[in-house]
Amino acid sequence: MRTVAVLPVLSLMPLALIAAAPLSAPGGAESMLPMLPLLGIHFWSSRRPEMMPALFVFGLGLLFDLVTDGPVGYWAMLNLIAGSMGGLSARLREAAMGPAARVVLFSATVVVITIIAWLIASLYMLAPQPLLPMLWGALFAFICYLPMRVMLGQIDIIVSGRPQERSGSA
Amino acid sequence: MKLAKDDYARRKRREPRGPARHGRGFAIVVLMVAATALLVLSRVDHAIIRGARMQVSDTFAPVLELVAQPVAYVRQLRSQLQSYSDLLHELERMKQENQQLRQWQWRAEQLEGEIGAYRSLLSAVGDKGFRFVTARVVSESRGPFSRTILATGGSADGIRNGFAVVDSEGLVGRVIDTGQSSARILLVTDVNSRIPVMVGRAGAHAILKGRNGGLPFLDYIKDGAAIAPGDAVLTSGEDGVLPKGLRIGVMATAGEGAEVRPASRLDALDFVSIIFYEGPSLDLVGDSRKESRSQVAERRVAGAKSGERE
Repeated sequence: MRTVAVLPVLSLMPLALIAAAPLSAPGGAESMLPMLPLLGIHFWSSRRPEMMPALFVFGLGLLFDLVTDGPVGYWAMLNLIAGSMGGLSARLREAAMGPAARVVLFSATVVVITIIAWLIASLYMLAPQPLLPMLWGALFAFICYLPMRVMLGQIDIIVSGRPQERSGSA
Repeated sequence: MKLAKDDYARRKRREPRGPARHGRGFAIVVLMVAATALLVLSRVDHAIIRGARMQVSDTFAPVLELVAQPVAYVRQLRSQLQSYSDLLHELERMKQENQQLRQWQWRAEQLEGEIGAYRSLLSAVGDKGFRFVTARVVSESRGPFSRTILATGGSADGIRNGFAVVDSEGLVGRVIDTGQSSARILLVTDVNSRIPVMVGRAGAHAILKGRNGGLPFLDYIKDGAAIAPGDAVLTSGEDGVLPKGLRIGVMATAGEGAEVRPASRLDALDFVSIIFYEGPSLDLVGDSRKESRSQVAERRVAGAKSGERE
């Protein structure tokens, strides 16, 4: 196994640390930062699924839940959903579907995660939870999509050891 | 021809095929079932989950502390820039505040003298000063589930569950879980937070409840209690856990569901002080990693019964 193969996993560590850091978020926007590792998982699962094992995705979510005092299994579950949606994106790439299809799938991923996150939160608390913070999180994910893709795309070039494919530009 | 080309491209990218892909899919399903099971265990607050939380927090606290340092630096820099931007306005405000404080100082000195005289007449015992440790906030929980922070300093520093946590402005919350080198603090805004308080000059008694989002509010207020916006809210110490007279904040609204604005900026905490106050009910708080509150209560009842028999 090449050393660069661990880069996708390593690239998620700083994102998870930033998400757990005591950064002051504006009111109602506390669901935004945990979206960062989620975006990374989606990216790597669509680009290098073999370098983003499901067990790691699960473990990272579990660790985040334990450190941030959230319900254990919450972010583990959402991470797994992001990973499997990323896997779908990888299949679209194989099926030579265009970047537009993958952008639509990414949007669907964010919507699905937001709905499932709200459902789990409401079931866990046995009461409907405010949707607004989660919508902030979804908006944050859309805004961060492009910068994250550019940043992680650079790491992907190192991993692949070749210039970035034009077909993988979305 | 097209299939062969695709297969070549896939091999080149080293993507999983056939059985490997099915294996990944199977693993995801199994792990999702595991995540659901963990969520259920977490909901019932299973001892395994509680133990794991503090062990993981203890392990990762030093790493999170490293991340928290630049965050605190950036926050300080931002507040400095803000204060520079309206320095003139701030100067004017401080002049006025200084004027008012001089009057209060004079009044306080007068009252101090009076209280001293009454104390000597009554032979009253003076208040003890509290010992405390200052800890850095290394992580905070966000989202709909809880409002807690993780701070450095744990049982090795003498910190126990139930200890009050303050910053320079007022009460922040109380310790709910202690590891060897880290402590989990429940903020006053958390939905599980219940603090007996007294409000205003009349000292109207009530319970301060958190609700995760927004400001905490007062419950169990006595009918006809004189409460107005701007009234100070202090701990009453009736729970036997928190010391009496700690400042929490001021009333933001009055009437039904009266809201309290905490004096501390709970979303921007860098350092907090943990007060070593061992109130009469502190033992009931217990160590959540080892035994639940009901177990502690049962233990105490059993102890009392055996004492009666003796």
